[in-house]
Amino acid sequence: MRERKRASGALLAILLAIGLAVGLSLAPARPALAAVPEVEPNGTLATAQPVVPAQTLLTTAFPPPGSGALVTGSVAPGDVDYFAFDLAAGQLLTVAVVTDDEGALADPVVGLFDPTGALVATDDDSGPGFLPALRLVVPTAGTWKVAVSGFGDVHFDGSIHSETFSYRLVLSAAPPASTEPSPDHNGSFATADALPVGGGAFDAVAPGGVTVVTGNITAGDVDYWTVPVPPGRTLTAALYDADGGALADPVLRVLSSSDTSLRDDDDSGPGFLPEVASLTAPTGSPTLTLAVSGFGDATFDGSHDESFGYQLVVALGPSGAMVCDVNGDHYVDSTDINAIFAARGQPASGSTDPRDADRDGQITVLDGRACTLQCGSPNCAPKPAASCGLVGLEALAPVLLLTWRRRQLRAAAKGDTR
Amino acid sequence: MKALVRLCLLLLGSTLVPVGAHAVSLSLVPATITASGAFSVDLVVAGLGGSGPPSLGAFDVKIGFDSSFLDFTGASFGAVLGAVPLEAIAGTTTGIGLVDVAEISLLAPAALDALQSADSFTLATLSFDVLPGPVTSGTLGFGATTLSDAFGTALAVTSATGATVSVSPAVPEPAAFVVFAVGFAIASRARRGAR
Repeated sequence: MRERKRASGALLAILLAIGLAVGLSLAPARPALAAVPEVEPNGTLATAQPVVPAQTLLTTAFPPPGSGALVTGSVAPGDVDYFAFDLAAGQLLTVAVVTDDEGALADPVVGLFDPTGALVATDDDSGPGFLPALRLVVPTAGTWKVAVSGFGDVHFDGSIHSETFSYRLVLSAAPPASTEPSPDHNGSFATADALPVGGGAFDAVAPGGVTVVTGNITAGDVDYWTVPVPPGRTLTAALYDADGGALADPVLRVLSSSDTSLRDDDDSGPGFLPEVASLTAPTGSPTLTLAVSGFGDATFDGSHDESFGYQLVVALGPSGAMVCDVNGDHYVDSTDINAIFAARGQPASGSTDPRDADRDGQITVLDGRACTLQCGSPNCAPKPAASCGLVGLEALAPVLLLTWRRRQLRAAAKGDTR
Repeated sequence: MKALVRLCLLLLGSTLVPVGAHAVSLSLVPATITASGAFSVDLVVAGLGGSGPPSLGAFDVKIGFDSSFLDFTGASFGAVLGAVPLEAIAGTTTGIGLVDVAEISLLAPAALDALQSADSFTLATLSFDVLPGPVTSGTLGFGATTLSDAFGTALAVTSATGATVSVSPAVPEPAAFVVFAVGFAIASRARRGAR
């Protein structure tokens, strides 16, 4: 199994390297997650660097709860980096710090500060190796701040630690997650658990209807979830895990209400994570079923040996068009905001009018302003032109190549030892 | 008369503001204007968070006036919602006796908080011309108003204070009158002398 994963990782790395080398322009436009570089001075709460979430962290087809940001920075002895970002109450915030050595030597810590400046959560080693990771439901709306420092800096003032490392800080926000019922009983199509999508509190968070559920997969396990999909709406589903798909290799299947497979996916998301975007339910199928399993389980009956925890994010889009995406290009930018601005004062064309973000039947500047928070780029800059590469993952090529090479060296070293 | 009725309706409409968690006020500054030609008036907002929530993320303000007395000639927007057009979208639309002034910021909430540190600030400066005619005074009043915080939530407006405009009284010019009289006297005398 590991050899298989290693082989697939190596293949992916080679493909990405080739794509970089020859400058392929074959892929459809999909904005890559642009890393935001750290800008000093950002060493205090007061000088925290603002970070604008981009919705591309999860998937380009997602409504706003899939927003996130990737920040690159470095910490030296005595240094601490603060970043500020805005969150709505009830969002599920995930903070992860990644280093090139995967936490083998570097030992970062993170602290989370609420809008009043109070330190509400810290973490040292919840991620891989010595890497920290935080996840919590945000109780109040406002500007939250996260600090990245080195082990020992309990006050996040940089005064105690002596760590030196470069890092990538991943921030993501999603609606509150449900949890897989215990004991696990959703291992087949017939016993699938229902996901609450497109109604109630979720619509209050995201008019498109989004939900997140957390679950666990062990060897031989499969989780089935049913999703009601109203006529004319599309389903987008994506799976995430704590290490961003670097190690675990889930697979995802979408089935009709008659247990017919509609789409399988393995690695369309970040790393080895699967993603299914904008799938329309077939006629006569009022519900869709999502099956989560591990790599190798071609029949989704549990024949795999993967083990991971996951977040399944499911969104219902209005007839293929996301809220605020007026021109239907799956990317909210100034073009869409301009269209909403020009239409202010007009009634919405219907319940799925992408210009009517708050669904009050009127297009107003409130809709326009709400939609700016969904923009894929800072200041709602226009959608980036299609770039060379495969699916916008070319930025990961050096990391994948290094990882592959390291694994090769490790395997060789083990062989020599034996 | 129609203009007056429209203005009254607009003023009535200004009281129908959305309910929000925070209250702000709008005003036109100066509140009393005396002009004989072109003049400008600032649209000012006050009562926001000041370097913190709530910040203003967007506004859509209608201002009514007597079109037989005033002519709207243009508007310039402040920078508190970001610089137009890269950081904000702004514009005006006009009707008879009505101008709609609107702007949506493209900045992140934290950036808006940082920009809007003052207790009150100017959203836009509106320019008008006083039209020649029998009407010598009028008002600039608020109509339907929508203010948004940084997250797209409506902010309530507790007060909206318009402005009054009156025509400058004609100023007599004694020097010109004297020159004219002297000229007239000289001409008369010359004519008499010629006879």
